[in-house]
Amino acid sequence: MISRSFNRHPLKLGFTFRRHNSTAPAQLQETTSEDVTPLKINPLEHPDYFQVHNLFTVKDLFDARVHCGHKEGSLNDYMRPYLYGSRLGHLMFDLDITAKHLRRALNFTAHIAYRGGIICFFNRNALNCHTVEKTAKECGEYAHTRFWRGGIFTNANHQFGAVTRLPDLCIFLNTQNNILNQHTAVRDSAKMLIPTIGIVDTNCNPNLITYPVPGNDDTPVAIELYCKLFKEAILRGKAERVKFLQENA
Amino acid sequence: MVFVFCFTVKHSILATRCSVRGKVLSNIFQYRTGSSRVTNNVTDNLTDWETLSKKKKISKAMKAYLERAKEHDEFMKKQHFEFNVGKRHLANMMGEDPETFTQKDIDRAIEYLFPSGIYDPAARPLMRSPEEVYPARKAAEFDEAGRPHHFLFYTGKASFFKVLYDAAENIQELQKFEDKVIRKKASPDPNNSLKLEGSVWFTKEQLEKTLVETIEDIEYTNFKNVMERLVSLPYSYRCKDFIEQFRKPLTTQRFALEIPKPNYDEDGRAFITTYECLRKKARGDVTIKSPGTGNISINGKDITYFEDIQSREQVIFPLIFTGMQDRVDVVCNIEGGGPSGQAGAIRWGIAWSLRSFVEKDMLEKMQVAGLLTRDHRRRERKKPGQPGARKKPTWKKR
Amino acid sequence: MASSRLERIGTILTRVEGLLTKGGMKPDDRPLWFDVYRAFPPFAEPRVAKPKPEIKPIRQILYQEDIIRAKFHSKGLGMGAVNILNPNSEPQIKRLIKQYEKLKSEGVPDEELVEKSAAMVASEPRPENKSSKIPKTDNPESVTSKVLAEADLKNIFSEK
Repeated sequence: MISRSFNRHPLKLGFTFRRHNSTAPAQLQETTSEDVTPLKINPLEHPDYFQVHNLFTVKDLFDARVHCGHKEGSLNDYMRPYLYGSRLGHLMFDLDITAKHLRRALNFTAHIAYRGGIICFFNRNALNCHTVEKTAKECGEYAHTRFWRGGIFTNANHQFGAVTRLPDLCIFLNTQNNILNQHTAVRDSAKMLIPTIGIVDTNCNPNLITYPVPGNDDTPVAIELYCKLFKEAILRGKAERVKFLQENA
Repeated sequence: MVFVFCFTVKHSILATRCSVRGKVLSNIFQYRTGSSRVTNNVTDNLTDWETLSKKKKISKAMKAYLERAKEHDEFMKKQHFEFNVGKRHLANMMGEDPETFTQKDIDRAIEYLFPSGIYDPAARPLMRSPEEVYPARKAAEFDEAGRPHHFLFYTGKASFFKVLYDAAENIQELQKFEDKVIRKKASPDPNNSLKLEGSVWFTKEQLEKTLVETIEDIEYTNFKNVMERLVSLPYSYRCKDFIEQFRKPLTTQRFALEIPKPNYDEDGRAFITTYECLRKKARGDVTIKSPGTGNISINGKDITYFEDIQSREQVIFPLIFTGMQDRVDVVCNIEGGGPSGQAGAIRWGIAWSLRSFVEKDMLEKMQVAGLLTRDHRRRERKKPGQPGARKKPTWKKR
Repeated sequence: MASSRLERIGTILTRVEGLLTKGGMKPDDRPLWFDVYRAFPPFAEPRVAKPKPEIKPIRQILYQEDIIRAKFHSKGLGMGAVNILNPNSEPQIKRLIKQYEKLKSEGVPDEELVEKSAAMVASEPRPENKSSKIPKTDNPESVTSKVLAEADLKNIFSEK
């Protein structure tokens, strides 16, 4: 525990940490030739290796109407900690909390992209379907915004007719199938040990989502903002991956 | 358990029991600590990803695919070998040169050596090259790391949803373009509009065939709705290429191509002869001459060749329908069958020949009235155990 | 991949850890996200059966000028056309309130305030829609728009 909190300190250039979860001999060689080559840092030991914190500000979230929730009557009790208050019956999110969660989610996304993971975007709102698919296409990842046939994850080898690699991260731009039911893929991802990032509105249940991001999941402007942010995070992760692969080619 | 026992036995035993309990507990404790140490070892001493990724790893999906592909290749190789051996045997049996023995020769040889009366041609013996017999295998849809090639792969119907995606993309682009034009205060060019009268949307089956995917009915409806929406936009001609990928031309000029031009005899009369007028077992030919006076000659006799009224009505029906009953002469030679078969054959022959002498809309009417449709029905055979084709013996319970 | 499909038990991390420690999964075959998850765990564990958070009354968001707003809205004066493409355009009610406060500071009696400010706002020219071009919705000073505008991915990491 102590070592982990020690690792979280903001990293200064030219300073290395002891690598606790590595048995790689390469690291030892690097420490010996310290003053010749710039030091290679473990991305996991950096609190924000891909600099995702500068992707957005709370003001951006506010402009994109991320703070707007649904009405009080449809509130899911698990969403209470993320609320700021209620404006004449309409719930408002606390954007400071949202920003904290969103940054962690973006960082996670960038790390998965850096490791060459498959990222799949989900959305069941027909209004935002095209935006989401376009985002997925532009960052070279995958999208599923259509009717979810049961068993795509849980029975994949049969459904696709071959052994299939499942996504390594599912990003839900909305986690509901309609206004009442949760998307089955949320449950199936949890079953198949796939981490999920989900934009959860006030009427959603955040429990099964690994990295829930409280926020508005209906407004096109908000969805566009999320799409832009996730795309940028993925592209940063991938750019770093290309660098890594070139160095180790 | 041990504790309860302690109360019931003597003091001396109690001490030993207690010591035993202490040992057991300490053992459990040691075991616990030991296991927790193992936990830490496993989860803390993981090789980091950077090191792991230096080893070239092929995904499980790709490995499985490669294995299957290899198996398939070997199987096909074997089938090829057997096919070639069989071909040489056949050629030798037929006394021909095995080197120049073609697929056509194989079919002929099979038909000769294994004559088959099986009704369904697909069930008759055949010998084809393995590529034709075994359907082509799907190529891998993912790369070596197991990443699918298509961004909609996980929907299961990647190409279909790609079509919908492209349609939506086109709609958005056209709307943007429209906004631009409106801002410039221009209006759409009427000469550039999209003309779709001559074609229809693909049917569900055609779409499935082009996309090589099975589609649900609701998905086909969605497809049509999206495409109709795209077409309804004022600047839809800008994505004509995309739209026409999914349209099939209508064949409307069916008659124009087929209708023969009439010949002229020595009197200068136009005439058309239709051979092979068939109905039931009757066969014959019909000649129509124009201009005429409505004379009908059947095997040298007039309409009284047929004794019953129904057959006579059959013969003159096309003439009356087109209103040509006193403007053309009809000469027929007919043989075989009975009166109704002969009358039907003549009726079709007259109608078929009249095509050259009537207007186009009359053709449509004749088509609708069924005059130009051949009647392919034949006599149904008698079945054993019953008096007729369908007729059964009188049924008595006992 | 060996795994437990019981999504109601523990979290995805605890299930993978269990497999690793008990030897059901080889350490090198662990999921790709495992290390990242351990380095950056979510703020709350993604368990299905979490106890419900404490139910406190939701804070009501109210402002001082809501009283003035209510006055206008009760007379049906508050609503007006809004240019939703322009984020800087002021809604009718905002201008009414400004006018109201201005008039109040000038000493206009309370009974006349509502009518007077409504009349003044109705007579003043509408400031927006001077240019035919649709204004940009993005906030030009925001970090996002700057970052996305640059979008020069190859040089993002060159500073290090």
